[in-house]
Amino acid sequence: MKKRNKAMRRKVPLKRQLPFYIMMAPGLLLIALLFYCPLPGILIAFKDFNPNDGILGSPWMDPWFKNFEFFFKSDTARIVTFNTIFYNILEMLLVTLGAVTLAILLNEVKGKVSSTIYKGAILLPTFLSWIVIQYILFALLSVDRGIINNSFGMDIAWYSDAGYWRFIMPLAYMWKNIGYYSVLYMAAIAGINTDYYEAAQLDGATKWQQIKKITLPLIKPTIIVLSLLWVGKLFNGGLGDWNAFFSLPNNSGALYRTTDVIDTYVYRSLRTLGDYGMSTAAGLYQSLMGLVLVFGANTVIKKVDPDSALF
Amino acid sequence: MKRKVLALLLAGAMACSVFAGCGGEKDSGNDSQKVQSDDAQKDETKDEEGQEPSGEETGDIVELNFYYSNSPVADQDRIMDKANEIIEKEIGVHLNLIPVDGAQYAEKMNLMINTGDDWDLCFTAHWMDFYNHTAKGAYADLTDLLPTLAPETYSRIPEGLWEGVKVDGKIVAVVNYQQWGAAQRKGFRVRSDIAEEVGFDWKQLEDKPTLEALEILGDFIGKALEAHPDMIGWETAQGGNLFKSDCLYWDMDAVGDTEVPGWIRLDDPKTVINQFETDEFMEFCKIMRDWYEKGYVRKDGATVTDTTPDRTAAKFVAELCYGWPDSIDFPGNADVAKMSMCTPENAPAVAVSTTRTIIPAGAGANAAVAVNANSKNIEKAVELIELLNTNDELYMLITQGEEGVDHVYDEEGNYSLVDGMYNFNYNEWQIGQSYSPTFTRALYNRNEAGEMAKESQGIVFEADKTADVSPLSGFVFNSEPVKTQIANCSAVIDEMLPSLCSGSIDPEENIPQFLERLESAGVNDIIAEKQAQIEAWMN
Amino acid sequence: MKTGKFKISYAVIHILFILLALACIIPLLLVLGISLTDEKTLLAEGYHLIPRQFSTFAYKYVFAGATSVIRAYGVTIFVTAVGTVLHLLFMSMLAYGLTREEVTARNKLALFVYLPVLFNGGMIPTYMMMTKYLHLKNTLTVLILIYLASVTNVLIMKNFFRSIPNSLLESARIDGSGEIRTFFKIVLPLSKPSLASIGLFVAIAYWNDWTTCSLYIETPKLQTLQYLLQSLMNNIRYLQQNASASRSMEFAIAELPNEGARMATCILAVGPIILLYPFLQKYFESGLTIGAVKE
Repeated sequence: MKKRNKAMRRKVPLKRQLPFYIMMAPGLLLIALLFYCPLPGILIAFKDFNPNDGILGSPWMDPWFKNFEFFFKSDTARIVTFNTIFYNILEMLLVTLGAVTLAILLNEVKGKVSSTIYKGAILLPTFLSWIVIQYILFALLSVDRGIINNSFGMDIAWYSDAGYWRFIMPLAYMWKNIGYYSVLYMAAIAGINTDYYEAAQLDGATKWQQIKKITLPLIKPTIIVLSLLWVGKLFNGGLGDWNAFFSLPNNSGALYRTTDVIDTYVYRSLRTLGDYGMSTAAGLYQSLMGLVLVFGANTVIKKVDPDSALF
Repeated sequence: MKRKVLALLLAGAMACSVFAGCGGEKDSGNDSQKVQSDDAQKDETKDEEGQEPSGEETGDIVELNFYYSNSPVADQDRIMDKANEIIEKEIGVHLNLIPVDGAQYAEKMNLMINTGDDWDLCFTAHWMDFYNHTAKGAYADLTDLLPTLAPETYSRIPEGLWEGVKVDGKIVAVVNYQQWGAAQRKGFRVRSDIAEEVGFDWKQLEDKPTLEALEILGDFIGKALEAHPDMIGWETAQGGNLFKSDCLYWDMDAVGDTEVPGWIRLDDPKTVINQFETDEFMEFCKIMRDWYEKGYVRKDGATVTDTTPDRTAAKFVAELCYGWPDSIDFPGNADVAKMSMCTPENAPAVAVSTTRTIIPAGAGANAAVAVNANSKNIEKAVELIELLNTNDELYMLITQGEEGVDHVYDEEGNYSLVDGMYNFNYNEWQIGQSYSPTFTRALYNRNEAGEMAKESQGIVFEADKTADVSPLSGFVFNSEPVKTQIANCSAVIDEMLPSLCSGSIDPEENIPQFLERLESAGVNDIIAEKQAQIEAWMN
Repeated sequence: MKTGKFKISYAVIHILFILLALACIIPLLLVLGISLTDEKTLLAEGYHLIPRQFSTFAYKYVFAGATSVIRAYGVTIFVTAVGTVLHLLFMSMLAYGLTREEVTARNKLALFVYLPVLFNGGMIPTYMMMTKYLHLKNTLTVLILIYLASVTNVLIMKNFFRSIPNSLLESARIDGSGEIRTFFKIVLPLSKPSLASIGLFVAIAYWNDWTTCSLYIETPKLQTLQYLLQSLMNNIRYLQQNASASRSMEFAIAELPNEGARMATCILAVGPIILLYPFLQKYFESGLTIGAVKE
């Protein structure tokens, strides 16, 4: 494989490559502009930043890790780091598992009307922003006016007991995202050549065997790519999809033990200070953890199944 | 593999160096040009949609950008066009009054200041980054400009208030002196009809220390709830509680930000204490716990963010009252004769003040306007402040819209806002002084009630001239040396304080834990730093 | 026997999906229910799916300020439409180039594209770039630009393009079609399902975005729908927390719309997508079945 590539590389004249570069140019420039240009901002984590001197001109922190201190000195650094990893991996597993299952099952629903309705319905929550979901959740769980307490005659203070939220958070996350991912997996399944299934049926393979031997192996690359990206994206300090963790617990202090992730903790700590050096430092820490996780996962995948590896 | 990553990082770094390399160039190189041409089509549409004029001078008119916090304002252009006619004629300035959503305002201003963005004036307050920004030198020194360019603005305000906006002896913001006055005297408000019904003598609350007053109120609430089981005794909410910002109830004042540990007792201003270690805090939490268990307060008080539905439905029996004169000093004061957000019909009330009268250290910076230290037109900005504060017609136009169009008076002389028209959402106190000696800078009902409101407010203004000023006025805490500790303490406080103050957790068990966590977060360093800075300042 | 078993398993699948569908639809109906409930009843009796006391007051209230809502719709729809199309165009061209073996530097370029998933410079440099260097404050451009690139989508598209048989492209080349022409005439039409599903989610990202608006838009003319919604939802907490700053705050809080009106705004914000969805889905479905690539 490698040899062939090398051989090709030498053979392809620039003129033949040019149209591709033209096509790629806008996308590459956008990525350079939107993702690479702001990168020097990472330096702020090591600087005593002040606006008049700018990012490069501001003096370095002394000692260089001073901006990181607040996070590592706090008694909750371990808890929020654990929560971040825990929810990240748990939600990834749950959503992937659920979405693949749903995609396969939906593929089995042959009635056109019913399958359309089902798909439409499970996609609905994807359209809602977290702030709307926060309201829905509140309407369900409010102590005195909530639907759940009222209809079952209970008096549970949902927003005061951190224990419940180990389940509520992943559930809410699944509720919103499972539709999105099942649609992506359905597209992948739809791309599978039907000949495989026909041949399998001729050989007398059961549904379950078909799924195990044909569907799953063929959508495996999609599953791996989406999962790896998930890990990477969520750790992208400050820009990950942690909105759920900001909104859903309704800022209830009693829940922080199980709902606080790095982003929410840093946001709360620095609310009164508004210090960018410290928040950038925490973001960088988060990114580094993501980097370790992604590279780790990729190395494992490379050993097991080299073709699916991301890079 | 490794080499590849390295090479790419280098390539990436090169790409960004075009943008960030020197930071001074106007053009970010090919990247931006390319994108701009890609977006050329949209740019055309953008122009059709209309664009905020960028801060360039057109003729002699100077453009000034004034940021303040407000919800979206309908019909803003109509009013601002009219307002700018006046401003351009008077001082040759075109004002862009830019509302930023309240919940986003602090973050946006912080970002604008930290990126050196283009702004000239902004609303600021001690509860909103004032100290952080002054520490960074973001606000212009106005000490010499104010007396010459804004004489009336300057002289109208009691001297003591200027102390609150000084840093190192320099005035860095202009106090927005409000129609509500600055001297504070706080107390409680109770439902007068229910007090009468259950035979509660509310006057006995007068001048009582807060803990004692709460005990008395507890009895009353108990009786009131027996008679009206569907009501709520006392408001508890996540956002506010007596140990968050209401230092005066405890005869204390905050050293710097009220939410950071480290207050002083007004009787002993030289010693910084941790307010959460005081007996008052323990006793207060115990009372709240008791009320919680007796069902006087909402079960979800620690997590409620919005109590407006309860307030408008007249659910509360008793509440805090910031307004004065109270119903003893000034019987019939309409300002305090109803519960918050209610009408005198559905929730008649009486107010009684319990604390001393004082101008707190933060009063000056409670609401203020600052000028960007990097603005090209600092002097024009000060002229604009003076114009907004002295030209009543202009101020009323911006803050209340046009009479007959945006607000109307009925036959009885009561004013009301017209639905769906220009509405400044009662943010007049952010853009200028809503006080004037003639009471012409706020809407008062044109009848007896309106005259009475003016009279009661007049009492506060008299007090402003003579009231005690907090011993901390003029002291600005520099949080730089203990930033780490403040960050960690803030997180702990945010987590535990609402639960403690709303009674949802047991104080005997949890306050020691709370204090322990604060200690490991470095609260003692903060207190020591505050103490050292206070001592240095006093000498 | 065999068919009987079959039927049972199908019934189970249907029941499962009916339950799931209900779990997804009912909460939204709840929001609708609250928006149509009389405010006083809401307070007294709590939240209910079916309004105990029907009232359209909330909608009347929201539409009293109708001009801003309608204009916000306009801005949001324009940004969503243009943004989605450009995003798909630029990202698919990039992804396609990355899959072509002719492009010798494609592995290096791919890594260049992937790396940013892990790092970002934070808000300050992005804000500086947009305002100081590109001068995009108060423009529609910034609302569109900010989501024009996505590494995730490039990867998904790349996976898809990879499955297009090389023979198809070879034959086009032999017929004398240029690479760019081949891309637009053969590759893109074949990729409809992939593009449709990605496009839908890009559109949702644009539709639900409010932070960009809150940072870069200062003129009411360009405010988006989600920004208005967010502002309604968030301001209450902010005002209550700082109520001691001015007694005017109390009036300001009273001015805010009640729960019903907030719910009505929620409905108005998601309504168009839900109404449009059946049409989108139709296109979506046909894309899935017709365009699916057979290897």
